[in-house]
Amino acid sequence: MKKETAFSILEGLKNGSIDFEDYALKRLEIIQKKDPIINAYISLESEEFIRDRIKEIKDDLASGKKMKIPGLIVSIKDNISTNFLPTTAASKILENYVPPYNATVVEKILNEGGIIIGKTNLDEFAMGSTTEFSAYGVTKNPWDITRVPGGSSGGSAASLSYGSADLSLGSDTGGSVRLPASYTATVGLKPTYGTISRYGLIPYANSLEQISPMARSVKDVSLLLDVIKGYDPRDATSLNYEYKEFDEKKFKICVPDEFIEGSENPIKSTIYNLLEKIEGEGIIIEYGAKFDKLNYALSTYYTIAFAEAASNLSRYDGKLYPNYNEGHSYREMSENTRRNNFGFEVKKRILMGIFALSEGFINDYYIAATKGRRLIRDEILKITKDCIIAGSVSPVLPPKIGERINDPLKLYAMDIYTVVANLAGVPALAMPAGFYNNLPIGIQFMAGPFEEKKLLALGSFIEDKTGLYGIIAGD
Amino acid sequence: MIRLKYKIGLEIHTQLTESKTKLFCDCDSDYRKYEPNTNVCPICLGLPGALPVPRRNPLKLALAVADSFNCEIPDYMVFTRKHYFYPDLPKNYQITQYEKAGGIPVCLKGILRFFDPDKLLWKSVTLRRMNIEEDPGKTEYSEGNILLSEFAYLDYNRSGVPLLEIVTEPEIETPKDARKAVEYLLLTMEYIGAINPRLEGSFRVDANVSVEGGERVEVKNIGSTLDLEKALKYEIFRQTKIVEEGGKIKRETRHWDSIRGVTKPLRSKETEEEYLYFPDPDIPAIETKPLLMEAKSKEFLTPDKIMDKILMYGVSQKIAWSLVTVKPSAELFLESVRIGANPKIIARILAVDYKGLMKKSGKNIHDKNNWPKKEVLKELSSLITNKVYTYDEIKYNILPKLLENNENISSLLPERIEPSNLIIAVLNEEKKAVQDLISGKKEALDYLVGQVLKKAKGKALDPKLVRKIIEINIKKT
Amino acid sequence: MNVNCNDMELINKLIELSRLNFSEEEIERLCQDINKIRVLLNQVSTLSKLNIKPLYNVWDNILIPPVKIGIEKIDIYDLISNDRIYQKKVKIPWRGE
Ligand SMILES: [Zn+2]
Repeated sequence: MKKETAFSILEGLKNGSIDFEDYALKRLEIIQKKDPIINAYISLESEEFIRDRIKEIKDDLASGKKMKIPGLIVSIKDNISTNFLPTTAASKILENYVPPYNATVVEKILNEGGIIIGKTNLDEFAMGSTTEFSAYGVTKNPWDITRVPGGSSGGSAASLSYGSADLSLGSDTGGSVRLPASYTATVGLKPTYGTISRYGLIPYANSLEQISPMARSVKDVSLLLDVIKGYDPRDATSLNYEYKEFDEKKFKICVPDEFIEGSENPIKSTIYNLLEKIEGEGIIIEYGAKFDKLNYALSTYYTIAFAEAASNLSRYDGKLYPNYNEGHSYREMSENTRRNNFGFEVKKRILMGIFALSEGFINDYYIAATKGRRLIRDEILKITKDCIIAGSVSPVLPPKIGERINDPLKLYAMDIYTVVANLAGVPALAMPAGFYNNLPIGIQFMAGPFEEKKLLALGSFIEDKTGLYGIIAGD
Repeated sequence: MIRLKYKIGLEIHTQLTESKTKLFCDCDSDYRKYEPNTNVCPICLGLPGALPVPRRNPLKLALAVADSFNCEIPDYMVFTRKHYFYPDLPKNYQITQYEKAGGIPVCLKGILRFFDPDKLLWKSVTLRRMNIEEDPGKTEYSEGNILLSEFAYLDYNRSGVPLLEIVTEPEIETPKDARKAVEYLLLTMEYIGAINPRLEGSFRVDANVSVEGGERVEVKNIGSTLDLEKALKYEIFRQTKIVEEGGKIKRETRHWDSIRGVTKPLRSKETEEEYLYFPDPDIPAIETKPLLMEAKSKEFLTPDKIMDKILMYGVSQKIAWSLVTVKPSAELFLESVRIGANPKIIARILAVDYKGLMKKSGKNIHDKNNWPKKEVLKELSSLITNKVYTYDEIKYNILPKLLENNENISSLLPERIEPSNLIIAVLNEEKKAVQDLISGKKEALDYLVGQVLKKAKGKALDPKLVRKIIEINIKKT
Repeated sequence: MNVNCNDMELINKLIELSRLNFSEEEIERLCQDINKIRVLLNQVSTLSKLNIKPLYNVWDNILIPPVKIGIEKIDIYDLISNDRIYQKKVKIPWRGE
């Protein structure tokens, strides 16, 4: 297996063994060859734009500017605003919308020398777990094109997995980078809520989501996290913080049954095998811890997500965006625009959100969920004070295309292990644990707030041990 | 007509026109000076991914207003979203502070004490709540009519401007009191530097009236304090008539038509209003104390405090109130008295004579630059107290000139002349008028005084003295 | 609508509030899905009676509004085409609703 990490490319670019232009244009070539099948991208930069960008980066380097990722290729989920490429959130309702501004994270990537090659596919407005609900077509899993790459950041995961980018930005509302990471043998980190600016992220569920780094190795994810982190006055939920320092080589891991036992057998055995392999050498593992609040995690999560989504999406009525439908009156225009340009899943979630907020129901749904959220958060904070929680990312192997989307409960159940970190605000890492019949299986680790360094140190230790990093599907 | 008991409650929406920024972005709160749609950014246009960031200045002003009405100010404020579809609302939700859905407003209970200048006494009304929210954009209808127009034309320059909504308990006793209460509220907010109430559309009042035995009727969209009094008078008249004729007053919302001077029923909505309120997940709770402390670091002179200060100088209540109602005049009064001017003289100049001249010549009395400097006032005051000129000499000879040149008076000071010769000359010339006066026509005296002043050609003459001398001369004959 | 659905009244109210619209086939599926989703969401309703403070912002944190945010004004005409502008204002069909 060929191993290609952002760190190795960066090294090559630095020492001259890799040529900036050759390398970048080769990525475009790979995309042209593979993306017609995989469909990881919604929009792409032109060759000319990339050449100009490289000139800019070289000039900056020549003038002595210190940058963290000069010349690395970055793909960005299409719900993160860019003023140089359309930003659609994979919805027809934002067709041709080019934001008049850049997301804070995009500015940071550009400032550190990244080359943004294109915008990646997702479930419409990030509402989904398979990247099948995109107005721009299904994204396929590069490991098996009859299967889904996971979602909603499936385009980002696929773009990394087939080697078209070194780093990628996704967003994680309830597992949206971790699920795709586990289905594509890549790495995704959902950071502590409030540590990455959401300015420019098209909102699905504001109180749950964070823009999240993805890459083919844990070390690459650390590199990207370092680029995008930090307080931003443009996001009122952004925190003035530092990630906690961590230099010990000791980890205590606990594995509550609830976070693994409901998974398919190959997933369980792969994860248990891995844990067994890393035990010792400073790693203590405790089995059988309890987390009984998992049984209302999904309902708590979906209630809050639907409510916030219904509110966020009310703005799309055609009046200020390029795509709209005519109508006799404003009511007609807004109804026509919303009827014709939102997908069925999005409409369904909007209706459920309104339901959860409406008079007579708000106490039993939305408010009840905010109470459940406090219980879950407090419990997770308590457990992670003592140990890193380990378990499955997904209860199932990458599903076949079409397998899960016809039953909402089956679809939502895929998120059971991942939504907890979003409800609790804590960081969570998904990384390769192994393969079963050539299908990737991931493992999830969850730590306390601001313990990203601890999580990444553990992940880095594990990937060195397993050698499961830098993997490109099909090579 | 019978006299029924009734109660009035008010909901006053005031724009914090002077807050410099909008509520959640740094666009200008003074949107009136811009071309349509040029005072907008991703935040106030509600573009996807842009986030509301509460701005300090509007919050500080809102807290200062709450503080000046002795409000119970909660430790934190929390914003909520209120959803409804409308062209002027970019996000189709308005960010406000609705208490019943987890929101916490700026003020929970306060007292609006206001001055009744006719009865010269203080009255009060309980404030139920104050909350701060975003103003929507501005809509123009293609054919002017809100119901029938084919198109709405939207200018979003106003979108996001801070609005402070102030709600009173229904305990105001007369339409006039309602008007005085709102005027006093606006005056206080003007002193705090929160509003320029004379800007078009800077405030709007919804009033509710319930007469004895009837249900509450709300009258919406009242744009001036004068209209408020008129609308309430009309509504009480209308409701009383219904009761007199044996009818029942049903709960409804009406619209004030200021052109026709009547209230009209609003189209009733088929469905109950459902606003889907919930706390805005983009905005954490905000601690009020530090912002209030910062706001109070500069002293706010509210009208009642200014009034007390002025009264301490022995000025009458009526004159004092007249000064207070015009902020630059009240400030100028205190400043010039502080540097030694005579309070009574200055009060009379500022509250009566100079103000009258300004109004007559169409000058804006609320613009500080149109008033004389405090040093000038002090000089005038000492000319009078040192008996160089009489008050009337200053009033007739200098104040009109000061209107044109309020910088420097030394050049305006008239030469003092002895009136006797002029008077004798006029009496000799104006034989007919003298005859009229002798035969008892009082107007003739005014005429003669006027002729003497004319002959003086701008030199200082005290008209009272002239009048006296003429009278003495006539008596002699 | 001739659809077999127990919740049609509720669904119609939600559709009205959301300004969405569905075809008849979609309604049938929608009804089924919403029934299922409600079963899932009902699990949370058991918490409504608990005496727990709702958690709206995950860290219960307090915002100190920043002095500067550094966002610039934009040109609204970049968003929509010229035929939707009338005298620099955004033209939206109206007719009273
Ligand atoms: Zn703005």
